[in-house]
Amino acid sequence: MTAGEEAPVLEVRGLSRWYGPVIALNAVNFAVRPGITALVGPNGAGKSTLLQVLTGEIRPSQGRALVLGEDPWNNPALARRVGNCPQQDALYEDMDAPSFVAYLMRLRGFGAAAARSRAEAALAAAGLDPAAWGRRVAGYSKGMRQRVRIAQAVAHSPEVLFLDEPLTGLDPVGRREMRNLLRALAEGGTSILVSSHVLHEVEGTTDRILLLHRARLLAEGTVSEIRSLLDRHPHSIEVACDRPREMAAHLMAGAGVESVAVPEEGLLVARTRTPQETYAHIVRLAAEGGYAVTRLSSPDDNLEAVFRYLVHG
Amino acid sequence: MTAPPPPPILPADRPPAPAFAEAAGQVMARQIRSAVRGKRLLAAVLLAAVAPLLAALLRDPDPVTLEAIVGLLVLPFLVPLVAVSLGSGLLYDEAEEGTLTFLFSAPVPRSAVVLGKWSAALAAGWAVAFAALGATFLLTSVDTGAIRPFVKACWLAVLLGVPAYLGVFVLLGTIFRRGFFAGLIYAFGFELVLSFVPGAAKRLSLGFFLHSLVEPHAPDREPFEPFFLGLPPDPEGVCIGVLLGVALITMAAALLVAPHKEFQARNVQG
Repeated sequence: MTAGEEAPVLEVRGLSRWYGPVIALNAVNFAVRPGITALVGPNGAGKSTLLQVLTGEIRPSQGRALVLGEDPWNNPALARRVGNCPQQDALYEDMDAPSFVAYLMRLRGFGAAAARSRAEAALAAAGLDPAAWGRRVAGYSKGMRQRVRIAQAVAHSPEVLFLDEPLTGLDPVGRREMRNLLRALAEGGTSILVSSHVLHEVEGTTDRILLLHRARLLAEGTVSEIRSLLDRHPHSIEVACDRPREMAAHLMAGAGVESVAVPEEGLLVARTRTPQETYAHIVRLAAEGGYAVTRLSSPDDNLEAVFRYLVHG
Repeated sequence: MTAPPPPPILPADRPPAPAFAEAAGQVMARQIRSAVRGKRLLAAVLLAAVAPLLAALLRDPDPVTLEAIVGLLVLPFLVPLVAVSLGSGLLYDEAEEGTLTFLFSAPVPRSAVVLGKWSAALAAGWAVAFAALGATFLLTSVDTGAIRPFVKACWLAVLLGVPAYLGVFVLLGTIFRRGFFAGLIYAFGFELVLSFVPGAAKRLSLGFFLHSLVEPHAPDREPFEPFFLGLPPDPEGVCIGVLLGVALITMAAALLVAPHKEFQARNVQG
């Protein structure tokens, strides 16, 4: 750790977890610093298992996990500082939302009045309509139940927050609200590890990601850092311009361009192993050749593509 | 537009975790509220209702009939059944439902969670068993005033039998995911076999000590003859000590085991 660099909030070293012959996590290593970090991977990648280890629900089979420098297994003192929103759609069905969250706050040491007021503040922040507060959660929609689970995780203002697929069940407006809540929490000093199997869900929330696939950590870092891993993979660039075939011929002469296609009139798609150089080449061609470029974009310019490349090569 | 999140708390201002007893009390209160609507309590009530229903239907003034209902039905069958219904799934049932995560994410020792749940199950078990026994005595045509020592012994047997069996079943339910079946095997396999094994091996059965509390006070011992044949009842003090001891030791064992166990739902997706 260099001077001025913040200490890791989460540290995972050689972490493995297996269930009989099934390996859920395989020698995973990473460190997470304060802020929002996304844990991304397809279903079955090991995300929930990793979060269960980090929240102290289960023990590693091998290796270790540290949260705020402490082993989370069987550690009630650490649990005071941590919030956990599990994936499973489970609540105490006979309770109303404020009572449910307040009950968990009482278990966190808050007095009755403080527990209730924090519960209501958290439910409001999670976007649960106050008109629904008096109803039992058994009658809530999936999205409402998700908001309740998120509320109980943030009501005690944890220093570290674990969210397992928190956007599941939420409509687009709800997802946006939840992203805003995560950002607000992070600005307030909460470190967040949020998991998702839908990459674009987390893309706008953070650029720090951990890619988990088949029990292994596939990549770690910012989107741009991971992008640098892609040098060995072809990268697609779409150019909408006049005279695409002419430009294609020029591009093929450039270094790193593997193939160029003209799938439709006015559109050119180049596959390159040196995207930055190809971008510069296109800009130069447009300026020098007088091409009318109306759009320059990359279908790969998002997390989905990064993930697809890293997983499928 | 949603509201801002709750105000941050400085580490020094964060409230301390609740004390062990306070946390157990919170869990107990919650568990009782949950049990009131639960299937397991309903099953226990329905099972326990068999005894007073039988007493009401038979309306037999002969004390032997009442002894048979209590001695052959309530003590050897209903008490263990009520206990296994209420005690065997305290942790794994909630793990399957997914809500145990919330309790284990709270800053309270897992043993406090187990104690709270155990206490709630005991309260519910006592309520059901005492209600069933009381209703049986009320609905029978037997003059219970004339067999007061027997009635008293029955109350004592239920008072001690429920926590003893509950302790065993909570422990089995803490160790095994299928605690309910393990409990049934214990109560109606292991104990039943022991009751027919000659000699002192019967003392490995809780049923023997419940039986020993009641039989000496029965006006007629005939209904008890099929059980524990050949081994005379142990003194009351020994029975009380054994049943109390089993309740406390098994509860303590469950409190010690729980913090070292993982309680996960079957279908865990990574």
